[in-house]
Amino acid sequence: MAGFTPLILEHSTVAGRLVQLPRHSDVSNFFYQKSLFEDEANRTAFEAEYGYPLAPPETWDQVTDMAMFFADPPNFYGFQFVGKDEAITGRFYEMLVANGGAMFDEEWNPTFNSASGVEALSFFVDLYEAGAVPAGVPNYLWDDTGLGFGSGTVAMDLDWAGWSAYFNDPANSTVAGNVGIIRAPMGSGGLRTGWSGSHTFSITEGCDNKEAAASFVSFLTDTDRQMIEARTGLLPTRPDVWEAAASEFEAAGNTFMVEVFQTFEASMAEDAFTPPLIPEWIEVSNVLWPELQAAMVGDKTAQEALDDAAEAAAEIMSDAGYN
Amino acid sequence: MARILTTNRGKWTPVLLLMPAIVTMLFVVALPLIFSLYTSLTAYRLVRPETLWDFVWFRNYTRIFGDWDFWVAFGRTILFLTIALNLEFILGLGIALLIARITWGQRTLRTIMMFPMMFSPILVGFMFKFIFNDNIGILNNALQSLGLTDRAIPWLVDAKLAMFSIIFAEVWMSTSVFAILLLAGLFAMPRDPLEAAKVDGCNSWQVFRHITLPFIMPFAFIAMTIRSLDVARAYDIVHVMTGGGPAGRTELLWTMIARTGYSDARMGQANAMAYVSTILSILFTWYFYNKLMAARRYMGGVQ
Repeated sequence: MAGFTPLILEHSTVAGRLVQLPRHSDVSNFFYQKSLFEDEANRTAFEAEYGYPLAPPETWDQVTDMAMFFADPPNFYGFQFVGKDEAITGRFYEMLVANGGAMFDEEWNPTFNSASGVEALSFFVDLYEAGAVPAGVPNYLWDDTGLGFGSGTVAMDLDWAGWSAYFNDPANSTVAGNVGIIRAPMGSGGLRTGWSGSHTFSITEGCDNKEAAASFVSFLTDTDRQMIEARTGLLPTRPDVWEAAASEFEAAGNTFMVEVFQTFEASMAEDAFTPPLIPEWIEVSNVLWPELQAAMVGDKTAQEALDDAAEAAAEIMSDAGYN
Repeated sequence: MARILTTNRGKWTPVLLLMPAIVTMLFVVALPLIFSLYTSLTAYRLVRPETLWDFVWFRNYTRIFGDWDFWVAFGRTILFLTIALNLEFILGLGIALLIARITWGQRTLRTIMMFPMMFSPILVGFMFKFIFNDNIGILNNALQSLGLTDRAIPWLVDAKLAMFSIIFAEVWMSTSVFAILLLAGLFAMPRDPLEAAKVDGCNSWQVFRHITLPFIMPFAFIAMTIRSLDVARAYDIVHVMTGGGPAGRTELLWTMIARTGYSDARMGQANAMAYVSTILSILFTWYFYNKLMAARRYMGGVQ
């Protein structure tokens, strides 16, 4: 157990029991096109319009400003995000937490329709209405955002570590060699967004040879196995693998991957947080994401959408016996 | 004695010979149907197997019949079905008529025409999802390069365009089924009535309307019966392309059922919805079958 990053193990613990052994953990960080930020004309124009220097953004409010500045639909967009299924729920959730809010209170009543929730949802709605993100965003999933950033038509993208190698591969991506990465920006609550989850192995209670299963699972998540995956860019869950992989990239001269690993190691150890570890999460997500979409495309206001979702979520939680 | 034995053996033989088919049908069709019916009367949740015995009678059904979203999805499914089937029929008929006239290379063309229906619906869904992508999709890029539009058209987001996109994908994939069945009908048509009509001085349109079309209507109705079952179950294409559309704009019965059953794990409720959908399919099949029988009787009169 000591060989794993403590925070990741904490994420795999439900009610005091370790339910899974993580093999690969994931968190999103901020990719951007370096050339846009280094261009002198952009810098002068941005400072003139917004009053502060153009630099890779530290807060999400800055991201909104920069996205609107860079956007030139239909040829170029400032930002993009996923817009359906659990993906948008997760993005909304991390923004909510970064703004100082929470999904539920101690009695499991939904509290995501608070002011922080409206602020979080408004981030997505404002960008969509301003046209700073592609119009098809409500239908985007991970493939669309990854390929979109790789196509060079989007200035900035909050995305998972697994895309790094793809973004920097000249055979696949038009922004290869031009990709910068920084830790995810902070919300108004002073926290960075850090929606995280792990790919893990579990042993079921009905297993009749738990010793063998445990030994197999430990083998699959040990240092050597994780090194194999880390070399392709997948994030490991053992600190010694982080170090070893980073030094291998450094030795090979792959400065981009070194930067990626260092950035993600920091955010994995400090910023990452999971959704509430309850079985009803997906059901709650399924009533929430259509409302988030409704707010985005203008069918409802942000407050209305979140209130409707909170009502449905409260029903789910009380049906499940939480309050 | 000997006579009795022979008669008994003769009586049971048909049943025994049919037993393998009956047993297969029981396991593959009847048992799941009965199980689904049973679970639709319970609060069965996939992730908690003990809820299988949690009998709630008709609560699932009253819930879904009182749910406005369910009826909207139901109506949208019927609309999707009607538009898609009619378009597939007209286009399939057009293709079949054109191919029937070709003399050289007809076999090759027939095979090429069947390519779209050989694809898995999921692959078709992904392909069209990327074609219709507003930012990196090939359609918008083509339209913008040709100068036909200067904005990125949100094919999969706007309410009407999203319906259009999924109908387009569905029609693209299945028109060949109609074309092949109607082509079979055209080949099976006897030449005598056609020649008689030509001799009597009918023009092409009259020949088509009064002789060709009635003759192939039975084939058309067979195709419609088969396709209505598939389109009513349209799940792969819609789920991959829009997932029920932004804010439920393209929500069909089966995307709703799949989400309730597999994602929310509320299998009891999902099975209730599935039974309603099955009854809808049965109604459509019965409707087309009646039309099929009527068309065949009509043809019997003409011949």
